[in-house]
Amino acid sequence: MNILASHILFLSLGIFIINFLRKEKFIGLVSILISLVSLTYVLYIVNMQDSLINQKIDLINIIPGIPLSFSLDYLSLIFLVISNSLWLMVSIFSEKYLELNKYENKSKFYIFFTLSMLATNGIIYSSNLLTTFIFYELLTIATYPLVTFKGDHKSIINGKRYLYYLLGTSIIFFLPAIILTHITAGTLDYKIGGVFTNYNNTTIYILVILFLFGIAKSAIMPFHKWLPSAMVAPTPVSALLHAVAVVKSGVFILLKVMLFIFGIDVLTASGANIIIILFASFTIIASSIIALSKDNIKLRLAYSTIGQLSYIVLATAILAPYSILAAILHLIFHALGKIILFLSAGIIATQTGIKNVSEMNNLSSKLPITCLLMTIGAIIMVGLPPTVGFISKWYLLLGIVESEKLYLLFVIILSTLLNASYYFPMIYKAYFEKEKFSYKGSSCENMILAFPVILIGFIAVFIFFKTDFIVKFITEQII
Amino acid sequence: MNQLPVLVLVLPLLVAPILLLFRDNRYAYNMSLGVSFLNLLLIISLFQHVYENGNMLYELGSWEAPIGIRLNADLLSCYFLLLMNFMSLICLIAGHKNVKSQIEDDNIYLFYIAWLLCNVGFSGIILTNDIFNLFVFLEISSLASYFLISQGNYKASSLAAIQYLFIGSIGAVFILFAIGILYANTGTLNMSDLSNKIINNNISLSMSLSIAMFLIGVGIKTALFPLHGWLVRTYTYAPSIIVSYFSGTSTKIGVYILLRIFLDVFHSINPLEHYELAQLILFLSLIGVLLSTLYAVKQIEVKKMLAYSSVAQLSYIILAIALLTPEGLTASLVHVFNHSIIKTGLFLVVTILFINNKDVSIDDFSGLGSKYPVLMSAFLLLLLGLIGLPLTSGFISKWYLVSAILQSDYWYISAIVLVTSFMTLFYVWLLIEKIYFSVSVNHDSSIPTISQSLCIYLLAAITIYLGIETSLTFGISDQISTNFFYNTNK
Repeated sequence: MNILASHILFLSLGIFIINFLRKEKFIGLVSILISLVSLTYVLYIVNMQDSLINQKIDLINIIPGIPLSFSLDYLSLIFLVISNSLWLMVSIFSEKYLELNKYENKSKFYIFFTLSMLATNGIIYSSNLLTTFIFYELLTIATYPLVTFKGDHKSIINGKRYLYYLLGTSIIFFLPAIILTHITAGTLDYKIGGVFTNYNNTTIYILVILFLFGIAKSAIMPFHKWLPSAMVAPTPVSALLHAVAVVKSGVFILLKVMLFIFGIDVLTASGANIIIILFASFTIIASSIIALSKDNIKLRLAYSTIGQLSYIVLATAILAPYSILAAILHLIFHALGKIILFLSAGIIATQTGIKNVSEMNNLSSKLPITCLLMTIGAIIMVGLPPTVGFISKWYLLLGIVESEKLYLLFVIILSTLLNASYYFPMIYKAYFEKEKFSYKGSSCENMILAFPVILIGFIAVFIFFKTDFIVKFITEQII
Repeated sequence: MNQLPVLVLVLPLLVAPILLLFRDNRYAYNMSLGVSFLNLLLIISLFQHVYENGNMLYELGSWEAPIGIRLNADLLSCYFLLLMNFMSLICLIAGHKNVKSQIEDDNIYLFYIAWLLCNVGFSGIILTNDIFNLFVFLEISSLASYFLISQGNYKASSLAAIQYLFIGSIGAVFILFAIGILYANTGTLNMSDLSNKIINNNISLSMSLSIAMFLIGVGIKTALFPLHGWLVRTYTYAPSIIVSYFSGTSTKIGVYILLRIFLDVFHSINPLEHYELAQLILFLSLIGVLLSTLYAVKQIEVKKMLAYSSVAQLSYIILAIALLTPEGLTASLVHVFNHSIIKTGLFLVVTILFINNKDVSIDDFSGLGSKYPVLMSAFLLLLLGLIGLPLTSGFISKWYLVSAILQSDYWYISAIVLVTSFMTLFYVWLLIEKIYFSVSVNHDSSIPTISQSLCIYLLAAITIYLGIETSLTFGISDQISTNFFYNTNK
């Protein structure tokens, strides 16, 4: 039995186990256990990587010639480790979070959470576009019950928008893009250097636009609205799924499409990457400006996510070796930073009831650890040393210089300034402004809730001193 | 083995008058069920035989064609035959409770007799190789359907039935005239013979007239826009079990006739291409898809919503045929099968849950997700199939449809197809929201029996199965269209 397939099988088994034990009190622990086993699978896979890389396993033939099939490459490996290790942290967090916020129907939460992670892992393992598409749609369907988890009118409205945006773009753009690729190239397998041998530029341009809009999970404007809508979900969902698993899946697929479907040569020769660069640059600036205007912490973080995702897409589309390195690094580092920010926001809302930036005055006296973590997250997002955010930005700048697209420097500098101007006021308020409101709730640190976030914080700081190892891995294996 | 084609027709034709003699409701039901089941077994073995050994001909009364009447079972016939009879059997099983409560006691045995005759009509249309015979069977099925539809307990049921009768007859008259003209021109009624003789014939004015008449007749049968009005009214006012049965069969018969006449009988002159009829049909079906999807979104009555959805899906099928490419034909055949299963399943759920309702509004589905969790999951699967999400048969249909359009000269219409396919989500989601997010629970729905639920589960399971394993749908369809397009001496 193939290890990748058995991992997916185990996760589906996990869903049945949770459903079977849905009445039990310890259901949260079961979920933690499942994510732990999943991480063990991943570590085992990392350990066995040499014998697993590029081994294709075909499961069933859905369309003749295009099977549902799994394989592993080094890019997948990185995303796999990130998403599954953060899943473990978030499931530890969720257990306490759901209890403190008195959510009912926890088993439904865990079932669809596990299903979402199954879909994410499916996307990571998929070795052709059809398999990717299947798990992509599954991920949309699986996250929908989580977005509408609170069941009130607001979440149903937002859930509907979430669904219409994601399913709509995938049906109208992504599916025809896949079919057109199949017709033009005769294959849908990811292949280093791309699959197109005979092509004309018009087809490439059409395909680039279709893929760019179709993979709306990467939240490129104008199809980004679903991400702010998704913020009605409970915080663990926003943290893991809408800062890591779902959005990064979108970016990951876009990355794979650019590198392994089009290929660097085809994109450079046709000049189609300019389209991606334009849309991504626009999204970076526009989302930062919108983020400035948002007072709700989670919404501000969501718009920040939209911008940061476009960083990754932009870095890839520049197609220089340094910028691709920057894209992959940023995929990792943004995940770490943003999940810290979201989980901190969750802690703040749980412990004090604060949901808006304007209420954060002197929060550091109540929640010192959370505020410290939030500061670390913010610095990563802005990209200042000594945090990892700086590393990826550095390589991005190198890539821009290398590719001689110097006008993009302007985009980066402007967005960095904007990032700083919507993150630092939060920090400033929390530390230096006088208290205006009396806080609800217990208003002190809950160490069980904070524990996973502290752990991620440590990793994020520690990794800054080990980046040379990651950079070496990426440059040797992927670029 | 050689008698299989005729047995499929003779068995129910023999049983029907016997039931008339007995006048017993239970007996009528059990016999219809038995005959349908036996028929299905016969058809499966016929299918297997044809698949392995090629066409199977049967000369009625041993009179050789073209003088005698010949039955011809090829892959296309078997494909449709299997679908029709499977749907008939499923609906018979699932609908028993409805028939008992909705149809007047004195009429139940007649109802089942009419059902059997209707199904014989369908099977006859599919099996016959004689074009006049096709008309006769068409009339048998139409008269039987007229009776079936009129049994609905709405005020408008009789009206809907009369309308169905009128419009159906007009369609039939067009087809009859077309057959007459063909006969006058060629002197034969046998389809194979006709298709040979039409080669030698220059396309005369009368021949063109015949083609036009066929097109109108078939257009009415398949509810091609703008000839779709009868379908919506029928689907709204007929007994709901009949709607379930017809949604998978009646209109698909129109598709069969279209394929048989235009691609088989007329294949040498290829009228769809010759008169640029294909463009006309393409245009009409596109408008049909757009309008009926818009109407479906607006409906609050579920049966009407599903009826408009059917018109849209049928337009996809016709549209794919009008592309005149082998890929298009394959796509349309795949979708015929997949859509029948899904739509019959959806109508059946409406049928069995709301036996006493005249109108089933979306609100009636409130909170049923918690009341019937398993049944509603099956319903959800069918709805997802209608949207065409991956791992359901609807996705397979959509894949081949879009693929066929992109490979044809009309690649730009794929935009309309994709957008309307997305709009399916709008009306489907109205239902899903009611089922799973409504606070109130509708307590008026009737409790489904085990056999009814099993039928729904089976259809949902098939929807998933056909989304993963496509050798039945795609494999056979591909073979049929290869035969039509590349093997001219078939």
